[in-house]
Amino acid sequence: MTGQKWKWLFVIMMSLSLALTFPIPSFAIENSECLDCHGDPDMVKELPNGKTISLYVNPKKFKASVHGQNDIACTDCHSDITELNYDKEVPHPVPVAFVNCTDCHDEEGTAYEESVHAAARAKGVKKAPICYNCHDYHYTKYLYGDTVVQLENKFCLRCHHPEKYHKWLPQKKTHFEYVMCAVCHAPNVGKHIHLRLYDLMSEKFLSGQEILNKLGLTYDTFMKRFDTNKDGVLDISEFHRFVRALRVEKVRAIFWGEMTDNLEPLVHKVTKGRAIKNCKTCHSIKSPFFDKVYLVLTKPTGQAPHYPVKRGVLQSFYVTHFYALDATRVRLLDIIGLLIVLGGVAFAGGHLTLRILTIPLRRRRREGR
Amino acid sequence: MKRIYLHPVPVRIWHWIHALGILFLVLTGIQIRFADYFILVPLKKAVELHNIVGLIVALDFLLWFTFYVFTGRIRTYFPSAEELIIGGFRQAMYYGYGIFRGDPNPFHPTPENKFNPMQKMAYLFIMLFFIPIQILTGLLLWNIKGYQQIINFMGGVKIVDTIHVLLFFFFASFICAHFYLATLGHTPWAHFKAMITGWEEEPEEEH
Repeated sequence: MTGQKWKWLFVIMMSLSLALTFPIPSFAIENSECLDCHGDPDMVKELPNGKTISLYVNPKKFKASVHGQNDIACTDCHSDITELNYDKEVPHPVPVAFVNCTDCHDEEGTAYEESVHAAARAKGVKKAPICYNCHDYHYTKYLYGDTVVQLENKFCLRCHHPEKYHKWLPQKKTHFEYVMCAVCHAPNVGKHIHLRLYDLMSEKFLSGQEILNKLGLTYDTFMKRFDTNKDGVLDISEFHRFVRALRVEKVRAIFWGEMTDNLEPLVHKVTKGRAIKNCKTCHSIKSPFFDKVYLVLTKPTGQAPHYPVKRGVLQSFYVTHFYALDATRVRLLDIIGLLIVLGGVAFAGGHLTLRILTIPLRRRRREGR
Repeated sequence: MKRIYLHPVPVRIWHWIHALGILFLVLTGIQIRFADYFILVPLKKAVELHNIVGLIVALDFLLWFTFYVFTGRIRTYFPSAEELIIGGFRQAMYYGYGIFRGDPNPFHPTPENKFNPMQKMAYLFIMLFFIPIQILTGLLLWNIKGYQQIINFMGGVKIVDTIHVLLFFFFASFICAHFYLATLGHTPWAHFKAMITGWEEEPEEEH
């Protein structure tokens, strides 16, 4: 190889190295560029059948969504749009490619694939939901702060009519209000109990911020104030202090309890024919579904820090508006009850014994002795 | 031996439906309350049976209440001031002392006045307070969502349940005491027989 050739090879190798080390800067498409057009409420697309569909994305609602809050770019999902060519009428490829949520949410996708919804979809049931149908396109929200009823309205009840089924289930409406559908229908997911403050007069839940403002605390200082033994869980005496602090601040709200699934990927694995139907799975003092109890203080963002509470609190009279037969029964009542029953037995047994022991006395009296 | 017609047919029918019903409710109540330890039937079945029998007992109570109010017999349950103090004390002395010595029962039932003062006080509370409260709380617990407003007014489902459970324990205890006290006739089975035939046998007074 001549010296000239070595020189060229050196230049090529150096160029390659530089290119790999310092890639040519790409000009990422900003969300604002997309919203220049899609932020217009009048933006529609005309379909071949003459109908129109809205292509509007509400910027505020998007910003408030999980993706907006986490600064996800439009092109992170619409990844087939790599550049905008304003010389064209539509500056990006049309139609845009199908967004595959599982590119990021792979665990959720795997769980969904094993669900009754995916199975129905595979059979050609067009109504069977995919991600968007439940979570919306652009306004996906945090769900941690939602109540069971809010979750059901957002998800299951949009397609399903629980009253039509569940004939076997006693106290249907109560179960529907306090137990998330997925608790039974996604049986492999962990469960826990939410406790929220609810004002019976105004029929509204108190937000976390409202409660903390009343107590002069923040989300970070809440546990520092009440978890005096620093074990990370509010036990019955610590919970008592919390209740007392609320009363001092004249917060007259009850603790609204409900059973929910952990919002983990597996919750998407909703099954058919394998739902929990054994009452004793929940209605047992040994049921693990009540082991994890959290006080939920919601945030305006939809997030909701969960503060752990001991199971014993559910079995106390601090929580009077949530009661699961057997599972959260007040143990003290059993002791009182045992004493009441023993009282009756002791009275009968004691009186009978005395009557037997005094038989000779009565016999002597009858015989005039 | 004197024979007195103490218990008319409607009262006897009511009593035995009530007795069997309450016994059944206590048994299923034990199963529901302690589902981990007592398994007579599956929990769901126990709840269903408890609800059905509870409804029968509630209707039976209404039958009793109507009969007693419209016939004026309800007065039987209200002790006079004299009965409340002197009669009650005398009866308590009999059960607590005289009965062991072989003293005669100071109370002699008549069709118009068939309960002794202690029975009156006990049954007044049971029939006009405890049973209605138990029926009311049972109805509320039978349809929690439907009666949500009343339940909230009473302080929550756990409060309603607590009242129901405490009365359940009371009735379990009462069954033991009631059964035993029913053996204190002139023979151990005299009162049981009277509640079947309607005729109470009363030994003639010795002079």
